[in-house]
Amino acid sequence: MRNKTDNSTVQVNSQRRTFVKGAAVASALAGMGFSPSTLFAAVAKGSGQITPMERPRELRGTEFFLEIGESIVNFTGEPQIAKTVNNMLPSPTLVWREGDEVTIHVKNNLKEDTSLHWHGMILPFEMDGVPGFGFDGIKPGETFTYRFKVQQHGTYWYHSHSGFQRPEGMFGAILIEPKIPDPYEYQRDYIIQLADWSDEDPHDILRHLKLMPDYYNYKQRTVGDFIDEASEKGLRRALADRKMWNEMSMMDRDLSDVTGDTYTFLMNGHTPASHWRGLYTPGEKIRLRFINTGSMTFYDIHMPGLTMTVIAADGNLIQPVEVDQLRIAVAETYDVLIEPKDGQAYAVFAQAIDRSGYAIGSITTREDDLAPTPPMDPLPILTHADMGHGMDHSGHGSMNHSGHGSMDHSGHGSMDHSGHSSMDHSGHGSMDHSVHGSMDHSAHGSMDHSGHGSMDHSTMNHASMDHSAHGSMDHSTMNHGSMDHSGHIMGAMLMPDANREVADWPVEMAEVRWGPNTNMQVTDAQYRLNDPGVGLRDNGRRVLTYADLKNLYPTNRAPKPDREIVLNLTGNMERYLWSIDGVPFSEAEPLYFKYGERLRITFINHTMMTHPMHLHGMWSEVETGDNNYLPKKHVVNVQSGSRISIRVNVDAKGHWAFHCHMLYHMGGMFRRVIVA
Amino acid sequence: MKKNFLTNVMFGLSPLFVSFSVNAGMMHEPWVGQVLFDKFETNAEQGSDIHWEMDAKLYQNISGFIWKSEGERAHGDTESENRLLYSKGFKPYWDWQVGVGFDTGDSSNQWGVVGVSGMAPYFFETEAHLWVNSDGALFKASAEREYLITQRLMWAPEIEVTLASTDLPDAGVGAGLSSMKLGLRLRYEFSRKFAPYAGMEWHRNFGDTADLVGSNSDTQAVLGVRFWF
Repeated sequence: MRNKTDNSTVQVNSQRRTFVKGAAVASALAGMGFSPSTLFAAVAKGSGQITPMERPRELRGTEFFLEIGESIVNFTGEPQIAKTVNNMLPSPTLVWREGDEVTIHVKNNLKEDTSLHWHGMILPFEMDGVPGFGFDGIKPGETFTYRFKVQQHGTYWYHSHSGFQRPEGMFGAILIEPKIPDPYEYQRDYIIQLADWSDEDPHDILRHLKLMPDYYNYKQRTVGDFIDEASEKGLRRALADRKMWNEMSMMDRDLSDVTGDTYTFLMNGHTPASHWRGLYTPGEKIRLRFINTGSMTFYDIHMPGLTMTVIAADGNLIQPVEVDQLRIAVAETYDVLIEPKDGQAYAVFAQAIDRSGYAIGSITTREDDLAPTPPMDPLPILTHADMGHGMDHSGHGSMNHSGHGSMDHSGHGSMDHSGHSSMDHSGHGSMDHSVHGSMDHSAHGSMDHSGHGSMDHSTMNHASMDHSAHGSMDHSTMNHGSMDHSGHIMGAMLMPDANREVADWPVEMAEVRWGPNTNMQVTDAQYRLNDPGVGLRDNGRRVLTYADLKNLYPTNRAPKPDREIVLNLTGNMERYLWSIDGVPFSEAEPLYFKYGERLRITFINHTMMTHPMHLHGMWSEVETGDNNYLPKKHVVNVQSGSRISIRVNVDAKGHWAFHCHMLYHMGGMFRRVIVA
Repeated sequence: MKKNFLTNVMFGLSPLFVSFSVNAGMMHEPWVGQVLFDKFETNAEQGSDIHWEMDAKLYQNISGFIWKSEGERAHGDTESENRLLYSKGFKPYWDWQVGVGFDTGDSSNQWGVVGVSGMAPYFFETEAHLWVNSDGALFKASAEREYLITQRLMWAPEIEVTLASTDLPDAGVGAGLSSMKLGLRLRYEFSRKFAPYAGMEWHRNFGDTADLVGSNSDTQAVLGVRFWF
C-alpha cells in the first residue's frame, strides 16, 4: 500500500516584493546553497510564516483550500520571487479518490489574475481553469471555488494557465487513488516531479528566443567539429552531410530552445546539488510516478542498474513493458515499478534532451547514501529523418527513396513502393493483410513478396504502420490486384477486431498557409511509433517508444472514426513563430467538434522541434499500433518531421483549449475547440 | 526575475497586454524591441575615432520598424548615415524593407531606400539596398557569417560592396563599382549580449571614388565591442 509520498515540497517564505528588497534578508539568503530546511529556518523567524507542519506537503480529502501568493526561493544562489500555491514549490501534492466530488477553494493573493488548471482531468469545461474558456480567471483578492466529480484515477498534475505563471512556480502533482485497486503490489510510492527553473523572467526568455532563437544553445556545431568529421569520413562526405542543413539554414544541434544555460533542472524541487532521495528497504517494490511539469524540457530518464516496468501513461494503465530508459515529453506522466534488491543506492537520472544538464535523485536505503551521478549520454544530433526528409539513410543499405517526393501515407490508398530496391515478396499464397494496424516492419531485412497473385489490401489499415527501419524492400513486382482476404479471421483476435476497420471516413485538412511564418515543409512525414526519438536510437538500452503503449484493457468495441481532421504543426524557428496549418492562434478560427462524434486527428509535424500536443477535456486515444488496445493519453508527443494519429470520443460539450504544451510554443500553436 | 526594461516595453506595447497576462498562450504576438550595436569600434591608427553600426528595431510577428545607423566620430566631428525602414517578411528568412535614408554631418543627403534583408543559405546574414534620390542611385549590399571556433569564440568575416549609377560627389562615390570592404573580426561572447572583438578591415575604392575621396585603399586593425540590449 502507499506510503506517504515524500514529495519534498520546499517550504518557502511568502513575503512580498518588499521583503526581497530588504537587504538584510536578501544577503542572508544570498550565496546559500539550496537547502530547504536551512532556507526555511533562515527566513521563518519573525516573519510570522506558517511552519511546514501546519502546511503539509500532501493534501488529501474532498475539500481543499489553496492560496496563490509570492514566495522567495533560491535554487541558484540568488534569491528569486516565485509564484506559489500555499507557499510551496512545487505546489502541494493533491490526493483525491476516484468517485469523490472534490471542492477546491483557490484564493488569489497576487496582484494579477491567476488560475489553476487540472491537467488531464475529465471535468466540466467551466472547471478546467483556462481563462477565456468559460472561466474568467481569478482576480486579485478573490477566491474561486472549483467543484467537480473525480471520474478517473492515476497520476496527473495541475498548474497555472495564466500568463507565464507556470514556470514561475505554480505546478504540482495530483494523485488519484483508484476505486478498484491497480493490479500491482508495491510497498512504496513516490512522485518524481521534474521541472526546469530559471532565474530569468519568462518574458525575457521569450524575447531572447524571438531575437535570437539559438540564444540558449551553447552546444552548436563548431569549425572543429567539421574538421573532425572531415578527417573521419573525408572532406567530400563531410561537406555533403552539411549541405542540407546549410541550404535550409537549419542546425542539426537544435534540440531545446531553452537549455541548462538558464535552467536549473529540478526533481521534486531539488537541484542536483540538494539531490532528492526516496527511501526503500531491499526487496520492496516501488512505484515511481514521473511527471514532467517543466516548461520546455524533455527528459530522458534511466536508473543505472535497474529495469523499469512501465505500467501507466498519462494516468491510465497500460500493458506492462520493461524498459531501461524512457523519454518524457513536457506534461506527460509515466508510472513505473522498480524492484531494487541489494540495498544499493540507485540514481534516478533525468537528462535534458539536449544534455545541457540533468535532474537527479536517489532511491536509497539511507538518507546519506547517494547514488553516484552517471555520465550524461552523447549530444543527440538531428538526422534527415527528424526533418521528415525520408528516413535516416545512413543505416539503410539499399533503400531507394528517390521517387518518394510526394508520397502520401495518410490514407494509404495509393501507396507507392515502386522505388524500393531489393525486397522480394514472392511466394505469399494467402496472406491476410487486413489486420496490419500494428504492423511493424522494422526488422524486415529481405522480404520476398513477388508471387502475390490476387491480394486485396483494401481493408488494410496502414494507419499505424511503422516503416522506420526498412532494410531493403522491393514491391515492384507485387500485384495487389485481386486477392481478397477479407473473410479471414485471425485465430485469437478480439471480436470485433478494431484493426480490421475500413478507413472510409472523410478526411478534412485546412489549406496550410505556407509563407514567411513557416520555414520547413515535410513532404514525407512517417509514423515513427517505434522510434524512441533523436539521441535514443540504438543506444544499447531498451527505450520506451509509443509502439509499446497498449491499453491494459481492450478498446476494440470503440466505434471507428466518423471523420478525420489533419492538423499541420508549423512554425518558423528563425523568427520563433509557431502555428497550426500556418495560422497562429490569434488569427485562427476555432475547431468545431460535434458532440457525440468519434474523431480521428492526425498531426503532421513540419518543424524540427517535437511538440507535445494537449487536448483538454477529452482523452486522446493514441494509435500506437494495435487499435484493439488504444492507450488513453492527455498529451501526444509529435516527433519532429513525423506524423501520428489519435482518436477522440467527443463527449464533453463546451470550449476547450488544444495546444502544444511547450510554454513558448503555446502562443501560436494553440486552438480553441468548440464542442456543440 | 527582474524583467528587462525592453521586455516591459515589448509586453506593454502589446495591444492585448491584459488578455495576454490572463490567458496563457492565447495572445497576439508580442512586440519585440532591440538596440544592437553590431560594431562599436576604434581603429589602431586613429585611436580616438569611434565607428559604429547600430540597428534599433521594434517589430511584431513578421513586420516592424528599424532604424539603421552607421557613422563615426573623428576629430570632434560626427557623421552618420541613417535609414528608417519599414520591414516585412515575405519569405521564411527574408524581409523586404522600404523607407528613407539621410546623412548627418558634412553631407545632408536624403534618399529613398528599398531593399531586402535576411539570411541566405549557408547562414549568410545578407542585406541589399537601393538608395535613390534626384542625383542618382546607389546600391549597397553586404553579407556576414559567423564561424564558431568554440561556443563563445567566433570568426565573423564580412563583405560589403557599393555600386553607383553615376558620380555622386556629395556621397563620396563614383560611378560603377565604387568600393568594396572586407572585414574579419574575432569575437568572444562573454554573454550573448556582450562580445568584445579584434579584427582587420580592408577597404578599397575604385575608379572615380578613389579620386573623390583621395585614396585607393586602406587596411586597418580594429578593436571594439558588439553589444545589445
